[in-house]
Amino acid sequence: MAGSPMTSPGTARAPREAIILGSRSIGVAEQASFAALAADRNPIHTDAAAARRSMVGSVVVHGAHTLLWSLDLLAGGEFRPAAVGSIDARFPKPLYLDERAECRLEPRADGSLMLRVQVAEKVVATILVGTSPTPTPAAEPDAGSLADAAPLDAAPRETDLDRIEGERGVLITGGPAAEYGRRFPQAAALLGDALLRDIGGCSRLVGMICPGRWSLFSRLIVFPRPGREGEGLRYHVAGYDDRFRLLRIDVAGGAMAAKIEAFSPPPPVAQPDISTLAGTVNPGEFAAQRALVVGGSRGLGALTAKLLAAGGAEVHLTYASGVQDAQALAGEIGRHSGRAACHRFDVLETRPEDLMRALPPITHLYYFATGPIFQAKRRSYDPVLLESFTRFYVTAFFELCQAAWQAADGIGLSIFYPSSVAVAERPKELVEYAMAKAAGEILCQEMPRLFRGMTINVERLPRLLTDQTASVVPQSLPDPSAKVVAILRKMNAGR
Amino acid sequence: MGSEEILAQLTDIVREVLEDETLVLRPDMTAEDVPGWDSMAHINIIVASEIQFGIKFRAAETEELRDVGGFVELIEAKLP
Repeated sequence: MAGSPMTSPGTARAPREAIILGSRSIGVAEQASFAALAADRNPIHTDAAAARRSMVGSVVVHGAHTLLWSLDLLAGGEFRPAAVGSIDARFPKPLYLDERAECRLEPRADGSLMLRVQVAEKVVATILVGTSPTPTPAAEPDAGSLADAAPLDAAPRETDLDRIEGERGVLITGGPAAEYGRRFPQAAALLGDALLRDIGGCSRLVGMICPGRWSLFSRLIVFPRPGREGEGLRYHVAGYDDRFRLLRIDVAGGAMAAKIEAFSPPPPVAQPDISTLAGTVNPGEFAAQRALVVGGSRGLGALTAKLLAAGGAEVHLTYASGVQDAQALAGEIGRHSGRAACHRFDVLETRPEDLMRALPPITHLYYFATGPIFQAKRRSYDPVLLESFTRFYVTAFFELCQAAWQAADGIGLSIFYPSSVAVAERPKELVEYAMAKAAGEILCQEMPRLFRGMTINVERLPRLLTDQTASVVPQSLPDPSAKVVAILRKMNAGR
Repeated sequence: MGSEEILAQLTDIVREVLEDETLVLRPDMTAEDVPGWDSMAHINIIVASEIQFGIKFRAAETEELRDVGGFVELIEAKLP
């Protein structure tokens, strides 16, 4: 054991103004290593394809990992507290792999220490470290037997939320405490490595057990106490708020008591299958379309591909990274006697001429390529972010249209460009996105003058229910099917 | 409890949820005006407000909130 908890009262020194304790990014290898240590292999941490379809949209660093790294920085620095009475960590935004996070220590009027972990302006964790002794919560979960606990290699649990309130259980924490001490030596010296392992165990509890497969760790409040080895964690779901799918969980381990708040977001939005969608279009009404659907493996692109195929079109859909989704979609269309093929095409990497060589001349192009819309901003107006969006929604779009028009060789080409209501509404977090879409709209007005026989339809789409707009908050967003059918018919008419 | 007192207590709640000791709320402010007040924070603010004031919101009420002033009015209407 690398150290035991310091419980003597002490007055923490705090900086007069915020200081940066350190910065770093976490890559794939380190992420996998922590997932193994904590035995939290929830797909949002370990599986890029599954994470892409989830509410967070990409692989996310474990909140517990961010917390332990931050505590290690604090414990190894000039403002190391003499004692820690409580740790209150919130995780308001996801930290993605390879994002460079900065840990700042901020002074607080009450003498506590505030760690704030940020990627540019995006706050991914706030950690309030109380330096005065804090009573451990009186009510603790009943003891359970580790013999009843799920094995460490079990798959993440699919929880029945209707029966979650009041659930009690016990879980085995992950790798040895000494390994936590080796990875976070300063934090272990201050808090004891058994406590670090218990914190890692909370990650496993949320990500693998309760709520398990569909989970987001929102808050962890830790009350350290003298550490004992090898007891696992006992938990009790003290409350479940079905309005927000929010769980409150009491936890007790050998080295701590804790309170957890975690969300259980709904599973990814499932598109209606093609058999269902076939009832919304007329047989053969899109048979004249040989359509290229860029970004067709999910969301509105996938829905467009299905509806086109249901109406008799020959569909070529592209994917950048979701090969399994794309192949599954093409298979579904094929089983419905539709015509579909999928092609890898990353609008930022693949030369559009190379894609066109793999295709017969197309008559219709639907451009649903998109990257993460809600990205970390470096400042109120972020030119780097604007450039990123502009490459997606303007430059790459133009180059693809040009290549498709050349390949069409005079047969005519109809293009659909999905703009956004954000152009007019301009939500604060989406200024650069709105600017790029506005530029795309202007380009769409110009291109028919540059390329004879090209027609372009532009629609400012509202928020529709897709992977990218999924939220833990219940939403009443409209089903996008009717909107997409209307677009396809408009494209059919060549207007 | 008057609206000024409710606003003061609501400010403390939002400060705690967003971990921002300097935040000052005004009735005309919306979530857009407050850094960090996103959908997740909104839930935490709602839940903390329910505990603080001993009230309960319906899901539809929380979705319809437009600004801080409306939030204060809703709390005031629900207080016994």
